[in-house]
Amino acid sequence: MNLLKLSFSYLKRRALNTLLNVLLLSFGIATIVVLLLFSYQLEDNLYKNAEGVDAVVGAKGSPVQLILSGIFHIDAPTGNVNLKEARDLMNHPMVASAIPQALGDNYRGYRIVGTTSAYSNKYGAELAEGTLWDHEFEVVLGADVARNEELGLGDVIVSSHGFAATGHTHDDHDLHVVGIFHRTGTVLDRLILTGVETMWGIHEPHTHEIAQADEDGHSHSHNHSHNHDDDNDNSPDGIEGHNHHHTHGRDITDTSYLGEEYDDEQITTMLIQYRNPLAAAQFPRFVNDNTSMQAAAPAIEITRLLNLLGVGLDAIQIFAYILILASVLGIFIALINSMKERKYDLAIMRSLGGSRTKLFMHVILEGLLISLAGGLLGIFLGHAAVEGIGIMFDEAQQFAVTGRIFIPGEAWIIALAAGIGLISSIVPAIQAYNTDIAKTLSKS
Amino acid sequence: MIDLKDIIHHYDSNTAVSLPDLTVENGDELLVIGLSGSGKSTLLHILAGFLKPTKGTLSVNGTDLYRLSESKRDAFRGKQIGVIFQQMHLIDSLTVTDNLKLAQFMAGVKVDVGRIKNICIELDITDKLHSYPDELSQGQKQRVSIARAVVNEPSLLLADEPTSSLDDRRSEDVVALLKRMAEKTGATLIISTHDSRVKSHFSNVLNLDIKKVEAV
Repeated sequence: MNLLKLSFSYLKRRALNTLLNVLLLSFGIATIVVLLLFSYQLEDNLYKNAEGVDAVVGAKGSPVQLILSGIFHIDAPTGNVNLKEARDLMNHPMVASAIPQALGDNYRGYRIVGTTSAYSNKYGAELAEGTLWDHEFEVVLGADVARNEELGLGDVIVSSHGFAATGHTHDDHDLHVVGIFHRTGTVLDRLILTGVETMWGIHEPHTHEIAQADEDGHSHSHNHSHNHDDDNDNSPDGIEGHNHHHTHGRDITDTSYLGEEYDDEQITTMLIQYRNPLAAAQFPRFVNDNTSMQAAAPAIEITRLLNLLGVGLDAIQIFAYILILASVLGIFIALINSMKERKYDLAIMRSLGGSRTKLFMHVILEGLLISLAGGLLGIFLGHAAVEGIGIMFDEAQQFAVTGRIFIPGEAWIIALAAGIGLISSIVPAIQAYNTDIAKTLSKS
Repeated sequence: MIDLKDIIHHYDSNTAVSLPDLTVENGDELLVIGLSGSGKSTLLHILAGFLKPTKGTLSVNGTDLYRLSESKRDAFRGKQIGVIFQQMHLIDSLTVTDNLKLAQFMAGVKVDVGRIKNICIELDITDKLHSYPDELSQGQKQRVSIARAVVNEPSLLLADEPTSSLDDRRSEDVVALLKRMAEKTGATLIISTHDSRVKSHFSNVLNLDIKKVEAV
């Protein structure tokens, strides 16, 4: 026998009421946990993905849309920009580096990004298997793409036009998986990377013919490396230094897409890093005023997005606090009523030698048991809910949200729960403390 | 030895009662008889350490009970005084065993399951050890409340109207049981009642008259 067991026996005695109060509190706590986890991971995600990008340059339009499509690969792009103009901007004195992105296709909802190795380097992505692309139509998969679609090296995928899983299929263009990245915890895990030229190759009629010619000329069962010199001769592009690979496109290097023969081509966005911080003030204005493109700063746009989202989150938070307030009242009323029923019990406990302090602690403990049970259940429910949301979003969103992480703020939730227990039980506990044995028992 | 001296208690500013001096030797029995309003409840509450009288002293085995601090008095009562109430007031959320363990815990003595079992054998309630109070008959409840009062082997056993709601035969049984338990633990037994049926079992009877005094 101890105070804990004694307090627990009373909670068990009115199990339904206890359950109700525990549930009420746990819903309030769970809502707060969901908000905490969600906003923590969202912010973390947003800033982590945007790290090292000072500006995104793309077609004119909404800057938020440009950031969303250019960095997070959520929204549709604002349009395309001419390579020639983009190239001039890459040589701008304020620009330290510019990573090109050619968008427009997907494989089962996973976006295919035509870029350079600088993109994967930016996210610190290392190859788990295979190599980076060095030819047209070779792709490297993000970790989630490979895992979810059960793809491996040597597999062939067919891209679809657009950004949704359903769309026109370029079924005459096989893309060959030559590499798979390790997980990075960034948007990269859900992308398919390839050279910029691949994106042009998929969409342009004359490159179709190259591929077609190759298909006609050779069966895949043959060892291609012996025959590739012939391919080169047949190719109207006549690019030098052909490969010993299974694919049939042009050679690709990190700079090959800049060649003047591509002057008429387009890319979608560029991720710009400035040479010095001063550029932040001048560069966007320069781009917006002097080119047909626009530059948007992720830091500014993300803050704006979070502020917009913040209003909604605040509303949910108020709702959560109302739930918690209701549960404080619930526990308080339950304990006060219980004290009325138990005034003889309390007098008896004192007659058995229990001190006022013991009785006080006994009631406080009862409040704490309810509130801590509610707190723990709430944390569990909150994590389960976030995990559920994460799984639901997994299909459509680029943001990985998981309920399987714990954040420092949750220690405060336990403290909050304990505080709720104390606040709601202090008045009933004082009543218990003031139990007068003689007065109570002479009334019986 | 119980020694009650010069007790005057004020209920409020207008009513007060004066109680007769009282000395009971260890192991003796005393029956306090009086009509309701005679102050016998007040006497019992003062003897139990529940109610601090306005004036006078109570000494139990040499300890001046009302000179102790309240918490020390609580602790003293837990170990030295066992009380049986007319309404049994068992804790409904606890089993019989746990009710008895609670008496040990509240008194601040070690929980002793062997002691609990022995008392339950003595009182013939061993088959109810894991029952809750609302599963017991009135008689069984009363025996549990007696067990609770003697579990810490008090030197003073007080019973408030233990027989008033019982028929003649049961009433005799309970008085016999109380006397036996007190004898077994060597406790002083004081029973307060208005039930004159009990009178024949006691040689030492205090007839309490209404002795209200004007408040000073």
